[in-house]
Amino acid sequence: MGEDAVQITFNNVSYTYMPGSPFEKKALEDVNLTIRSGNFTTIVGSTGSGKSTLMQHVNGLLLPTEGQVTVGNTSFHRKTKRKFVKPLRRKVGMVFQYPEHQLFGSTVEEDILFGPIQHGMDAGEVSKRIPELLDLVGLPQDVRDGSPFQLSGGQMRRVAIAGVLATRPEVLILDEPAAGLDPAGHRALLDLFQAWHKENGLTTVLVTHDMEDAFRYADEVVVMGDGRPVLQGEPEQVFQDSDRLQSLGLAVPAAVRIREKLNRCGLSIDESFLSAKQMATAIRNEGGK
Amino acid sequence: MLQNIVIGQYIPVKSPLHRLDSRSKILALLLMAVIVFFANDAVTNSMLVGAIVIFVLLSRVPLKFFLKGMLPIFILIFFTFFLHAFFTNEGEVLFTFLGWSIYSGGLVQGFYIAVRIGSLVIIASLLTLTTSPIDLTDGFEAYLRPFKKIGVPSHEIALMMAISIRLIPTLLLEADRILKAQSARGADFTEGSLKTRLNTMTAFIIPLFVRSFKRAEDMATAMDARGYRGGEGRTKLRVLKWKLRDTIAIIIVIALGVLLWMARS
Repeated sequence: MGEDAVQITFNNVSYTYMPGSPFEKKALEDVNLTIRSGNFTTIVGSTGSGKSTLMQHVNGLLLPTEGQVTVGNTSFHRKTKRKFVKPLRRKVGMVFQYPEHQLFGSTVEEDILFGPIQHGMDAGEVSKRIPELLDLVGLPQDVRDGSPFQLSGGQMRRVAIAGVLATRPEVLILDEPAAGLDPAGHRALLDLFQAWHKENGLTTVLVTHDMEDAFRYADEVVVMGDGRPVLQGEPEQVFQDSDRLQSLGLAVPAAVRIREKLNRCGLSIDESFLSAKQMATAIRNEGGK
Repeated sequence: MLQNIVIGQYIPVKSPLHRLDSRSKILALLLMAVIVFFANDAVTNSMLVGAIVIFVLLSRVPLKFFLKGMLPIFILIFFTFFLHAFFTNEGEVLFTFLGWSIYSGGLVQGFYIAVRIGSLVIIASLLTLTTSPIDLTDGFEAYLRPFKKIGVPSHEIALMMAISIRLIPTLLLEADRILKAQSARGADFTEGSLKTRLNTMTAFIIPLFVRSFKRAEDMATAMDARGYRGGEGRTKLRVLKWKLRDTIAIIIVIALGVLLWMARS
C-alpha cells in the first residue's frame, strides 16, 4: 500500500436516474475528470450538483449510463457485471453522510469486523488491530464489547468509520462525513482523515459543500455545477474565481472574502494568503505601511 | 437499486381523471369492482376492455406504469387462466395433451377470468396513479366518517394511512442508502450460502428498523410539539368539493354497468 496509489478517471461519464419515467433526472452530464493518485481532493458543489452521484461511481455502486470509469487498473462501464466491480469495493472505502445509520452489530467489534469478513479478510488478524482502530478514531477501548446503539451519536459515527478503515482501503471516499457534528468534532474528524491519508498514502476524495473544509484540507479542488465539473485546480486558484463560485450558489472562503473587501478599500493584499493566520499577518503588514 | 418500485405511486400529470374528486373515484372503483363481474361473453368482455382502455387513455399516465403494476399479478392471471383451461369441460375438445383434454369452453372461460382480474388491477392502479395520497386519505376519511358513531376511529385510520403512504418513498430512500452503505462495505445480497445471506440481510434490516423507530419517535414528538390532539374539532385546509363532473363520472360508470348487464348472456 502506498507505493502506487490509485488514480481515478472519468471518461465522458453520464448518469441518469430512473431513465424513461416522468421522474427521469440527469444527474451527471458528460463528465471528464481525473483525480490524481495520492492527492487529497475535495469535491464541492451545491445541493443537487451531482457530487454524491459522481462518487458512487468510484466503487461501482452506480454504473455510468454512458462513458467509462477507471479506478486504478479496473475499468467499468454500463454493461459491466456487478460481480466484476465487487473486488473494487475492498480497495475503495466509502464513508457516507451519517455513517452511524449503517450500524447493526450486537457489539462494536462485530460491526467493525463486518466489512473485513465480507471481503474475505482474516477476521482474527483484523480483530487484533481493533484496539489500534479504536484508538485511531478516538474511542475508548471499553466500548469494544458493548452495543454500538448505546453510544452517543458522535461515538456511533466513529465506530462506523472504524468499520470502513478496517479493510485498509487504498481509496477513501468521504461524503460529508462530518455533517451534523459540532465545530470541534467536525474539525477533529477531518483532521483524523487527513492524518490517515498522509500516513497511508491514499487517494482521498472529500465531498462537501463547506468551502472552508475544501480549502483547509485539499491538495486539489473540483467544483461541480449542474452535473459536471466546472472548475478544477489548487484551492488557491479555484477560490480566486469568486464570481463564478457565487453564481454556482457557493460561498467563498472567509479569508478570500475579507481580502477582496480590504483590497476594494485600497489595500493590496497578495492573493497567495489564504489561511486565517496568513491573512492576519498580511493585514498587519499592510496596515503598518 | 430500489428506484423502480411503484407502490401506490401517484403520477402528477393533468388529466380529466386527476381533476375528479377522490370520493367519486373511490366510489367509481367500488362500482367497477362489481361491474367487472357482469361481463360473461365475448361482446360484454370486449365492451369492458374498451371501457378500461378509454379510462387508461383518459388518465394520461404512461402505459408502462400500468404494465409495471401488472407484473406481480401476471403469475396469478396465468395461473387462473390455466386452471380454467384445464378443468373446464365445456364446448368441443380442441386437443388432448398428456391425457388431458382441453376444451374450447375452458380456454374461453380462462380468458374471461384473466380479463376480469386484469381489469380490476388496472382500475385499482388508476385510482392511486391519478389521486394524490392526501386526497386519497381525505376521500377514505369522508367515507369512514359515518361509522364514527359505532366507534370506528375514522380520523386516526385516515391519519395512519396518510403517514404510511407518505413514508413509503422516505423508507425506500433510506433502504437504498443503507443498501449502498453496506454494499460499499462489501456486503453481497445476491450471493453466498443461505446462512451468509441471512447474516448480510441483518446488516440491512436492523439499521432500517432502527431508523424507522427513530423516525416514528421524531414524528410523534413533532406532532405533539405542534399541538396535535387528534381529530376532535379539527378543520381542513383543503376541503373536498363534489362537482358536476364527479356526478357525471359516476353516471357514466353506472351507465356502463347497466349496459353490460343488459348485453350479457
